[in-house]
Amino acid sequence: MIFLTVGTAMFDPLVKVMDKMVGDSIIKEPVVAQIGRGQYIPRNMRYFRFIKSLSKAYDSADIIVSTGGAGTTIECVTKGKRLVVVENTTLMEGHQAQLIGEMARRGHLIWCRDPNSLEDCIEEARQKTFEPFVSQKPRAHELILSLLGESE
Amino acid sequence: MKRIAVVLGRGGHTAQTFALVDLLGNRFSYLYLIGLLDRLTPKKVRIKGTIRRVLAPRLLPQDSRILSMIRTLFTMLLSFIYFMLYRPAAVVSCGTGLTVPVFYAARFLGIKTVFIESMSRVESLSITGRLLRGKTDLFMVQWPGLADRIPEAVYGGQLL
Repeated sequence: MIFLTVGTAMFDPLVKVMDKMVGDSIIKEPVVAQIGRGQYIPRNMRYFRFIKSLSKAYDSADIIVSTGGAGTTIECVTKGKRLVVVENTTLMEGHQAQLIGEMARRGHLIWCRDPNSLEDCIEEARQKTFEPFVSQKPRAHELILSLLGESE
Repeated sequence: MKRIAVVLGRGGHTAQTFALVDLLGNRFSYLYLIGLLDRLTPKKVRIKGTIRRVLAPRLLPQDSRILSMIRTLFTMLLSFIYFMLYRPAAVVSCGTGLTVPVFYAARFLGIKTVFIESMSRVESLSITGRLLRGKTDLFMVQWPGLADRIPEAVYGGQLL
């Protein structure tokens, strides 16, 4: 199963491209799309708008196509999922490029810079090995505790 | 029990913020400040607390400046009232655009402010981060390279 997610925003261009690929039988496996506040309603694939947690969808997907939101990106690379990112450049403060770039450089995701080349990116994701990203230990809470004079 | 006010926006910020709240745990009580129309975020709260609503300064890119300014002032006023009522020891934010007016209200009341730049920021600060650097009690970033570049910033590890 391929899982497409746009996160809390919307990104119709990507949903449209994917829907067309399914309609044209370029993609033969089932696709499920989370379309957020999008206006475009898919005709060829199952879809839903929002759900409390996408974790189950990530777990059952073979390939995840996302728009590069921090939450999705980090959850998927940490799990070592096959992740293809088409950056949603329409967002206001949507400068996700830094995180996507860093994760792409480290080989944890495939950065698909053109939605029209999605087919190739998905094929590349099928072939590639994705090593899970191991994040650094947080110490933000320790710094906050010491700021407030609380002990661990 | 000390209370911590938590500023919550949409999307990836939220996951990072709740990860931080999990780490801070039950030793604090929480006041969650959430955007007015945001129905999804309250459902994600894992450690229970009081939820109060504020207004996001910008809802859409095409929103007029005047409208954003009014919203910002209104949020500052709302935060001021909530802080007077709930007296948090600190207010924390993981980078949402909602943060600036909330932090101004906190500073005015002498409440400690903690800003953690989103993990999406690997090389440079967000607009919110740029506006707040040097104006908070604690300013953290989640990538060591970024901490090296910003003198006011402390590396706080990674939340996710």
